[in-house]
Amino acid sequence: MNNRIFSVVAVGLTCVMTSALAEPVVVVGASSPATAVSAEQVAALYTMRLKSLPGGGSVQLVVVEATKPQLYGFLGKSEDQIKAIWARHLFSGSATPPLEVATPADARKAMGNPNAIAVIDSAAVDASMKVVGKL
Amino acid sequence: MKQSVLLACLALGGATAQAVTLDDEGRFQFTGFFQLTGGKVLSGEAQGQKSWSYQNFNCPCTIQNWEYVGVYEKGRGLQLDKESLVGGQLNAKLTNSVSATAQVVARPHNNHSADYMPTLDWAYVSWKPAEDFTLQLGRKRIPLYYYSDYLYIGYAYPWVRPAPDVYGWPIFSYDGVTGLYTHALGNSDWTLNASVWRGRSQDNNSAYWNNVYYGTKVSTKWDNITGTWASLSNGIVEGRVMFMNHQETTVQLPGTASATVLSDHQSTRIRGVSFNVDYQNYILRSELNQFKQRPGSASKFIYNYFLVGAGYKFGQFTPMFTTSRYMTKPNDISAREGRFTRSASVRWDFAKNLALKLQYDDSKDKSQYDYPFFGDSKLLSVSLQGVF
Repeated sequence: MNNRIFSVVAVGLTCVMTSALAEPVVVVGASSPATAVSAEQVAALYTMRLKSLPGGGSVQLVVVEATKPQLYGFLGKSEDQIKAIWARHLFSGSATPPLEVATPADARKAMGNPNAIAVIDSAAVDASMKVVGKL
Repeated sequence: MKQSVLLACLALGGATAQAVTLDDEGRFQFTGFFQLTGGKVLSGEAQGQKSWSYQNFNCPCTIQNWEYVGVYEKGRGLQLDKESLVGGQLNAKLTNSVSATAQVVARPHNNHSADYMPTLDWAYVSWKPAEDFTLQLGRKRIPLYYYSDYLYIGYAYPWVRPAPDVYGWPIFSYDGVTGLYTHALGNSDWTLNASVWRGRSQDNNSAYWNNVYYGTKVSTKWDNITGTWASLSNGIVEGRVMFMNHQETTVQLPGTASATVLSDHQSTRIRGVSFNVDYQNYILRSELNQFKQRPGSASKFIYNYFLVGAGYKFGQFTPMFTTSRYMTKPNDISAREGRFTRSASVRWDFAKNLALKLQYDDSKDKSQYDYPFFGDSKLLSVSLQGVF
């Protein structure tokens, strides 16, 4: 009985700790050549001042709905400011469109592309991706 | 009917407001942009006259787009067909290092096709042989000034349109080769972006020369276009420099008379600097440019022009105050032409991927022609601009 209570409490605590520890992390696909992406590089990539992952080809930016506030907050811009910056680059031939997805599961699909990068909740990281940085 | 089709496209674009990914991996993506712009000339005068004609325009009037000659006339009230447009772009990632891009734009009036018929404004293949370098082959807009290569992507800038005192040449694209370079400087926030390009462009029915200056058919071409720009940015400040050389040949082709060569491989140099700041909610935009034709024929022209604007973002609203000016040096065949404009504008980001803009332009004609040109004008513009 005591063990069962202990288990319930332990599971509960684990859940609380996991959600408390969950934080936005920068991920690339497991097959990506990138091993580390600095905060400066993440900012430059998501404002389209850099177009490639370290060691990679044309980056595929992935934006996950749930971590948008953290990403845009990190960039120091509102969503409309970011969209204006993207529009400039998309339609003037210097970048390709970001992939906007609803859930981390959708981001996992995009990670099949070795040039994809996303900001997701650390709790959603799985074997299809590797963590290369933090915001 | 056609106008209603365009409006339906705009409404559809605004409603969907999302890039369309045509396959699971995002290899094929369709995106687009639009602007529905209305302008109304409130008042104007030239050389003391309150009503005059210039070329085919009944003035008071104002030219707000030189490339396709968008002129608003006071007598026509609110006009929606001078700057409105809708564009679509298809990106195809062919391999990890090769992609293809095509962009078409439809406008109510276009010298190069029937009204509302889309024209292929961009079409190029990109190859990325190295992390920092991209090579592109095909048609692109000439990236002369800060806004030149996204002049029609209204959603990307704060005004209804970048100042026409600065943005206005008969040739605006090239067919050729482009190199793009991007590089992060150490572990800092700074990035270096640069480009070189080489190509040519020809327009056998130039709206700019026909409708603004000569009143008859004019052919113009820019050969041996060779240019470069470089910019340094840390996400807050950005400085950019640009140099370009080309040879201009412009020939007037009146109906029955023989052709008149206005310029023949006239060496021309265009250069520009821009400095912009986006610090927290503060916005600063500035550009200083020059177009200079080297001595060698009577048709050598020198233009100097600039814009400077400042704004502040209050939540969804971004008001800006901007001044712009252009001035030519008088030469053997033409008196001075010039203009000075003050603008007040506000951008309202009222919905996702959509902005509504209102702008008031007070423009003074500084030209010294012995006939009334476009004259002074006060213009009110409203524009709904978006991307999808």
